[in-house]
Amino acid sequence: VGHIGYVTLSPAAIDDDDRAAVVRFEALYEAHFVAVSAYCRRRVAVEYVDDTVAETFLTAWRRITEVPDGERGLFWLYRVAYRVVGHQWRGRSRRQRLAAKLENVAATSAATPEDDAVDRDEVRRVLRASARLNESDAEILRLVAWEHLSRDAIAEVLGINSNAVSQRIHRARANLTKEFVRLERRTDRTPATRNAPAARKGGTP
Amino acid sequence: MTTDDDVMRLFERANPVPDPGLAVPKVGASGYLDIIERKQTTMTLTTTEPEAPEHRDHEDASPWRPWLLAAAALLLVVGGLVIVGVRSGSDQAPADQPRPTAPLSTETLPAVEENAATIVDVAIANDFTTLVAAAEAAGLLETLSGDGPFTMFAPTDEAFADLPDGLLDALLLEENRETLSAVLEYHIVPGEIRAADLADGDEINTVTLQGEELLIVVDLSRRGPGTDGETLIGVGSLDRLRAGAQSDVVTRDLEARNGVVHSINRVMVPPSIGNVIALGDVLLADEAGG
Repeated sequence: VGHIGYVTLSPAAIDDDDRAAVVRFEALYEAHFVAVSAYCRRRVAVEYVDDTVAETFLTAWRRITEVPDGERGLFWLYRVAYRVVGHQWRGRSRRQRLAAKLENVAATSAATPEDDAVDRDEVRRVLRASARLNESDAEILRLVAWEHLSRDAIAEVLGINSNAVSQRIHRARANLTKEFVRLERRTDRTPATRNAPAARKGGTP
Repeated sequence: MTTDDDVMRLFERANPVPDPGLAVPKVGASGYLDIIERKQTTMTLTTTEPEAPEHRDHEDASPWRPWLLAAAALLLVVGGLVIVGVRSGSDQAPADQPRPTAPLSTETLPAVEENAATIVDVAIANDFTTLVAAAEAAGLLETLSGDGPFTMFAPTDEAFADLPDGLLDALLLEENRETLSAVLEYHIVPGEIRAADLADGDEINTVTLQGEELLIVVDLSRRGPGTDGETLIGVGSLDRLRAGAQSDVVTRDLEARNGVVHSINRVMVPPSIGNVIALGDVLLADEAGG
């Protein structure tokens, strides 16, 4: 395994433990890459998705012996990914964050159901409302509505107990509604039910 | 009027990725298993190759040329770390072409002047502002202006800007100078490794100035849009490569008198520290702790 001068073309010795870890990691990756990637795509701007996914799996690789089996492995990965996303986002200003998120949404909202422009405004509004929540409220709602996780699963992802999850979901839903209604009043007197350029009508925000 | 359920339904519809129907890229775990296997192949070739050739007589580029690497490594040893001759127009001359013994005309001479620039000069000229400032803080400018030769993987200013909030500032603090040096030295490999000398599928395992291993892998990181026809070069520890978390070379083969500079899109962290987040934990915890 030694080095040949400064450049070595030899690998680190691959022992049985290492080989087992690789096999385990590969299984984890194959099983959950799609879900983790989707999780990240839902939370960060397109250009940061690869990095976020990669950092998540890097952590998994480094701590492969701690990763639980089966579905719980995915919850473990979500938990890591949440932390990675948090760090990445902390590296940018809040405004950039929001812009990135809304941009992301603008790019993808065309792909949301065929109810077309009618509720595109509403969809944007609800996202804007969610961006006004504190991060843990927003995350819990995303886990419910986007990852479709059960309360027990969410408890595992967030490292809290299920009762606390129920309370926090309840509170987060109420806060989301409050913010949504506030934005609705501010930008548009009547809830958009027709695909009129309602947003323009409001003039200044 | 508007109920929590209504808003939640709307929020559910706002899911930016309602259907994550996306294939697992080969680049992931299984891709990196290949690395390990290929590394073993390469090792065999290295050890069976006889004494260092002074003349290289490679065949045309094949998709995977392990013994080009083997020869390069041996040249490194024998040639006191100066591997491949300086190549200024890296695109034209393949590694296997005999090198003219004398310049064809005096027009080629100005190249000598270009080579007067050190790695530091090249970094300054190419706007690696943060890197230069950090190298200065770490007391590395002298090394990088010295004889070398070195291969510098230079994070762009954007790469530094992508670090978590406060991390760069923390790194630049006097009391964290050792960590800063370790991080920066992890970006410097003794010897010269030029992209122009690498082929698809190549990977080289190097040891950085900092002392830990850094792999350079060609093309396994190819993915996503905008990479058509480009051979990507990824660098990072084996762990990072396994996880698909390598840094990618953005600009390659910036020539200096004492080595070569490749810009990369992500700051690297020595494997013993882990990753940027662990680094942040270390530095910020230190900071908080006093």
